Amino acid sequence: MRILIVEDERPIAKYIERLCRQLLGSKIRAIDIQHSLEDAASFLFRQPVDLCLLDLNLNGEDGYELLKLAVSGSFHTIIISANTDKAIEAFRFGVLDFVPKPFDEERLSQALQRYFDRQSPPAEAVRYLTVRKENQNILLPVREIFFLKAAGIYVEAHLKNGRREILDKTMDRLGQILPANFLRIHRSYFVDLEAIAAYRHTGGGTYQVTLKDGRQLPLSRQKYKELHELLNE
Amino acid sequence: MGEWENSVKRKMRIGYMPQRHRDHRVGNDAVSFSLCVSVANLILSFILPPSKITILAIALFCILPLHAQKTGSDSLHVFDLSRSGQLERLGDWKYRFGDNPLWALSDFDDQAWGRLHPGKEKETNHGIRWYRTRVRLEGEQNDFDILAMYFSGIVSAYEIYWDGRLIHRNGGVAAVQAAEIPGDLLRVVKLRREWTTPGIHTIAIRLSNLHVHDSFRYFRIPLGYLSDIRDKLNEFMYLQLFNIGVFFFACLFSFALFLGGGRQRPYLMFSLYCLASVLGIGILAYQLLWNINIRYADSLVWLSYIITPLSGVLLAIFFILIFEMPRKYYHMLIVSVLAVVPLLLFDQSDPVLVLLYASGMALYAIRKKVPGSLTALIGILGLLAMMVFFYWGVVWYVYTAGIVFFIFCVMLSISRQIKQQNQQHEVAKLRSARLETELLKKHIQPHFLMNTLLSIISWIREDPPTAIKLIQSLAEEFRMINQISSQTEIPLSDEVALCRTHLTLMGYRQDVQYALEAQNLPGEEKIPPMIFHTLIENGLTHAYRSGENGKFLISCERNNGTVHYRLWNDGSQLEKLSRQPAQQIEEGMGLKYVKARLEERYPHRWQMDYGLRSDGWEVNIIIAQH
Repeated sequence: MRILIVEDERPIAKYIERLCRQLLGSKIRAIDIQHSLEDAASFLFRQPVDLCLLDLNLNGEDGYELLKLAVSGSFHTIIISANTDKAIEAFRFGVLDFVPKPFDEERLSQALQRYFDRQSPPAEAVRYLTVRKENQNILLPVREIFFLKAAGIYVEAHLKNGRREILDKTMDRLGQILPANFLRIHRSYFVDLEAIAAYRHTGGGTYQVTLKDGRQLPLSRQKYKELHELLNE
Repeated sequence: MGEWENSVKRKMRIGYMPQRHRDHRVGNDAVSFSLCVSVANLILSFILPPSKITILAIALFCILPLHAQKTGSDSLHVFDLSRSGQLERLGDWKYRFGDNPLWALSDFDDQAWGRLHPGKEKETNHGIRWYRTRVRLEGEQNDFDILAMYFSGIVSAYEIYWDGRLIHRNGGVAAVQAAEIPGDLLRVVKLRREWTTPGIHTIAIRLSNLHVHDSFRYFRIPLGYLSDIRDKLNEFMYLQLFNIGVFFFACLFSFALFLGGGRQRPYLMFSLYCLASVLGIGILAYQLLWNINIRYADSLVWLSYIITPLSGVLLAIFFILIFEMPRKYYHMLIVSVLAVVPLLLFDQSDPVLVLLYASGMALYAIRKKVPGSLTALIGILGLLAMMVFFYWGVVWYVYTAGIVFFIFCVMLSISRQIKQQNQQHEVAKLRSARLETELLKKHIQPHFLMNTLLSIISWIREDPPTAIKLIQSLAEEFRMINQISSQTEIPLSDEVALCRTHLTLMGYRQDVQYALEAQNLPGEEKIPPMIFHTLIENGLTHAYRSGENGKFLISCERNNGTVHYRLWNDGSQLEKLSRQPAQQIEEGMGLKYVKARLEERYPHRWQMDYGLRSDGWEVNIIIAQH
């Protein structure tokens, strides 16, 4: 994996780098350090990464713009910040974790673990996903989403109002941050449980979900059981 | 009351009413009175239905001739003996210079003598002269009382003849000053019952006036029952004492406000104004209580000539100060002129012009939203209205009411100001507390503290000795801030030391070198705490790339009356910063703190600007000295 550390204080950046190497060892393909958000943005343009460890001073007006910019990328973001009172906000914008400064090895290890771990949801459910449109980051409230469909390296979000938006995230990465009411019913689909009207076995080992608007989506066999359990609890 | 009170009143009108104008009306003023009535009639005719106008018009025409007859008679006063409770003022005097015992006689023909007109003759002080007038007594005299005449402050010496008989002598009348003996100020001349039979009586006065500086003019002598004269005198006296009381307490109260309330000059001015008024009325009351010799009375009148305009000026200064007038000396000059000019030109010392000017200032203050200015204006207008009523001949009570109303309004106005000052004081106290909290918060705020702690952790791994130095400089900075946090200003040298400690700490955090150079800083200079510290913090945030060394420069220059502080720093990111729109740089928390501190310490006499200049960022703070 490729990691980008964005931290303006050199000694701290070096310290984070060393901890990462120590914790992840051979899993790391490369670690890069950038000292300003501007430099980081241009770096990301040239070089895609998997995980960004971002020092963000969320105080001040531009804090949120930067946060939106950070989470709109295809990579996961872990915020490392001294302003812990902004942690909940950060989670709502879909960051993987929020590590308060100062931290120790254990806390950073936990955060990095979340990257590999697909089961444990973040401390606070994501409220917004960020869509990049014409160089602008637009917030997409998660409760507006009907279902999500994989579309190549992107994901297509189908909204309750009938519109569609393209998210620069993979299905797997979305799975790590989406709230519990979203179920991955198929390799290519996330559905809001609220949106499901019916589900059935259509014969020949194929299953189907009917949404409240009448649309039919494929349902995988393993997920049929899970869905059945969830809805009959 | 009598002639002397009138003369005093002319000079110190602040608490007294002129009766001169009332006198006018009785003679020729009947004409102007009827003219006024006609105009009023005309106006009424537009308002009232025709039938009522007719009644009104008839009623007025019935009254007018009576009025005219009573007042327009030729040298003959009429006094109705059967009606007590009224006084007849003897005013239609004929006069002649010279001295002749025959002029006292009732059957002497004085047709050729000159007539004394109200407000016209100015008497020159030479020799003896005589005055004569006649009164017709009607009806039956009251059994329990006798008639009397009240003489006050006319002249140095006089003799009074009733139907040719000498009935009273005050002092010694003489043709030259050395021979004249000055008499008393006041005399009540009683008339024996057998002298005051119904019919026409002649009153002649032989007088000389060589010991009084002030020439006298038209005069009126009240004639009436003795008890009525005494009642009038008492009434007058009580009102003056009441006026004195009002001014005296206002004087004490505002002086106490001055002493206890931080020595604010407006209160002292109002206190002095009240004191001057107490003295003015006091002089009058003193002479009424203790009948003194006319010579002293004369000098006291001159004293009041000075006191009255002075009190007007003091009052105006009070208003200039509480209304926070700009260019106050200019206004003081104007009111002094307004107080003195009427006195010199018209022998009129009322502060009417001064009060008119004060009401103009009050209007200005209302526009500027000075607290209490509206109340003050109402008070001033109240007093002015009372003065006007007074000139029209309304009774003394009205004037006293005017004074009470005026003082009440001024006190109310003062209390409004005190209330506002208290509020401002509270706000200032709160602001100071808030600034202190802000100062302390800046250093326990997470961005600074947590990053520093993490920096320490990282240095512990990387290079423990640096970690120790970093901890030490953090401790040092905290110690310094703790010391200065509660102060509103600290020596500039302390501020520079604090800045250096902060730069050392930040240097360790960024693993770079930050330097601070101080140029020609005078040792004794004091500034509000953490001004430069905050500006340097800002500079560190915006000016430098990570890993870049930095240089700061503080200098201080004294020019005539101003102190000019300059903070300069270099930095590779400044170019970028200057390309940003101005409002983005503007008004961060740090700059707000700096401005609030400057305003707290140097209200309205500081200015600050900043921008990209000569290869670096420059902040200029200019403070005007007192």
